[in-house]
Amino acid sequence: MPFTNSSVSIDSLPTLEAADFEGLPSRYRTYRWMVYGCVLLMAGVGLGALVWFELEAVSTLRWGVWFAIALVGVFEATWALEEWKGFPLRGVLVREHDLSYRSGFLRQEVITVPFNRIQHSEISQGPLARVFNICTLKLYTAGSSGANLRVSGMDVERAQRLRQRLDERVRRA
Amino acid sequence: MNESEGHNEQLEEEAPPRRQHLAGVIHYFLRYTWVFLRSFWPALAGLAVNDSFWKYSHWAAIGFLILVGVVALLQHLRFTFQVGEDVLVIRKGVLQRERIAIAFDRIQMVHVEQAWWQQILGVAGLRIDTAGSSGTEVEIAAVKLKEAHVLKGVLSARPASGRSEEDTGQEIPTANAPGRAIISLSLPRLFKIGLTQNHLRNALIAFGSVAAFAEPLQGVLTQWFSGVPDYAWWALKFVWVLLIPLLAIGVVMVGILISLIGAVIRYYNLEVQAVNEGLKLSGGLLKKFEFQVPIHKVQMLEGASGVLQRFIGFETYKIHQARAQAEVGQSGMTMAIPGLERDHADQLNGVLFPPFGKVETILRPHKLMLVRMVVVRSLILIPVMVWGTALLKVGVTLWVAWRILVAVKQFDRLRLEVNSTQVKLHQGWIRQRNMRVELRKLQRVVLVENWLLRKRSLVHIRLHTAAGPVMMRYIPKERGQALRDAALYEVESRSEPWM
Repeated sequence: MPFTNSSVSIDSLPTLEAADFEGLPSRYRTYRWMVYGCVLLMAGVGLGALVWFELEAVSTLRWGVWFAIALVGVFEATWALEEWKGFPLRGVLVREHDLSYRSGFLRQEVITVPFNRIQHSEISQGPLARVFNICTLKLYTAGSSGANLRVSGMDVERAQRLRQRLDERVRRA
Repeated sequence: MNESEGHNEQLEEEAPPRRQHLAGVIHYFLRYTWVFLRSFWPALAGLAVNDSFWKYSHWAAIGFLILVGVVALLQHLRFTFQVGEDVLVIRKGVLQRERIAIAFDRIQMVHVEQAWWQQILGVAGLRIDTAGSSGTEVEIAAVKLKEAHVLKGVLSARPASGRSEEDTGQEIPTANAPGRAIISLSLPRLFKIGLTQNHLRNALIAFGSVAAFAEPLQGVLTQWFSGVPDYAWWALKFVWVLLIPLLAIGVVMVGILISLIGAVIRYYNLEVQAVNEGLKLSGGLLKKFEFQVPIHKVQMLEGASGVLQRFIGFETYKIHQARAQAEVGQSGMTMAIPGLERDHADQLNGVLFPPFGKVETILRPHKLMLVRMVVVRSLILIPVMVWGTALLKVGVTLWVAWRILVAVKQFDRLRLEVNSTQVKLHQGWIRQRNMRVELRKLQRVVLVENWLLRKRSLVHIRLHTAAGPVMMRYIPKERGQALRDAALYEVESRSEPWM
């Protein structure tokens, strides 16, 4: 095939449009709020025990306890804000040659992996995720440890279809 | 490393499995002894101060040497290698048998290494780096030197994956093809390289090692110090201040000495040649090495220079190859070439990369980055000003002022030069670094923004290569997105081999 090197206008390059991202199933939102609720419950129980022991010991709450309550409060509030505002922003965009995943509100990340760089892919599903019929799609590229792109909360059937397509692309590459 | 089942039929006795040279037994013997000493030296040092240990030590040593000898011999006998048409098969293991098949197109690099004892016996070892997902590296411990070079030629001089001789229309180069010399380190240049190393770091490592060894030998040291007369301790109480400059000079001298010795051992007779499709590096004193890097497997070129190195016009270049999944954080796939002057560096860049051409965009970070650096570096002042003593306040304030100056200089120098096919990142002030990457070799692109960046329409961009990321922070969002789109276009529209 003869070598060509024609010029390409930057404006003509395909762009990633924010509006094109497909959201994740609402089951995943429930799953995440459930996890949040469990952690909130455990933190509440822990703080309650701390307050009870403190009142038993000195009949008042010292500054350390107030600090712990404030710390847990700020953590839980930040997490809740992230879940509330961040979930609608989570999404996947599959294009002809690459896959992008957007996540996060306070710290938003958009990761794009070209299909021709995927070494292998994996679908994992924990027991709770099985109840919600969701899974995590992991894509591995060269040069780093662990999965380079993890799309959590995907519908199982969609993830399997996508993985099949990816595997075909990897085999062709 | 996975078994390549498809290669089973191809092997079909075309080259029968072979054993290594008998000197392989020495290799295993030395390696296991070293591993044992390295793993158990604290226990051995503890036992060394016990008298009853010495009573039976010779029997323990004889037993240990026989055991290691038998294991080394068995290891040697169970290790075979077989070179097929496009696959190398290695069988090894005493208790657990292992068969490793490596397709030639997965081989990243073949090193020929010759330790001192191998030089005496006229044999050499081959180390084969692959980029498989398990990141395994295999080794043939001892073959005759000439045979090692032939094997290296066979394993290295294969068409790159996805590209054949017919496709390229070019003759496939051989590993032993004569090349154009880029640099050959003479002794005076080696001396200069040694003098421009990081002496402080080397001295600290040396003193750290001494301190680590000193603890188990505490008893011996206590006995030695007890021999020092009382008047010497008394005199020391008054003159210890005078010893500080002497100690500082001593530390510097030890650092310089260690740097010089290290430079000579690592880079003695280092030669870098440009061969048909890559670079050939050879050198080393106690452990000689020789390997060839195909151009298409180079993921990143990193130049670095400290103040001393810039003073005499030297720069150290690191050639980064693809790392496998398990190798992150290791330096196994990186080769350093020190002592390069400007023209050497240009030649190296010219061999490994297409011409950079016109810089289309220069990306500079927003001043918000500088504000953040200054704030973070000044935070230490708060507790010091509240609780610190006057002396501590002065010291920490000076230190923070210096750190802020460094931040300003680092910020000034930070820039990413971009054209349609490559990027060059310039960073650092005292220790300056520059990284060069071809966009088509990227693995993935990540854009990051937080609420503060979003307000100002800024993003961070990470361009991940198979050898690590190139990061540029606090750049305008539309520029970051344009760079991401251009990078993805390069990766997805080009099909040349990248690994």
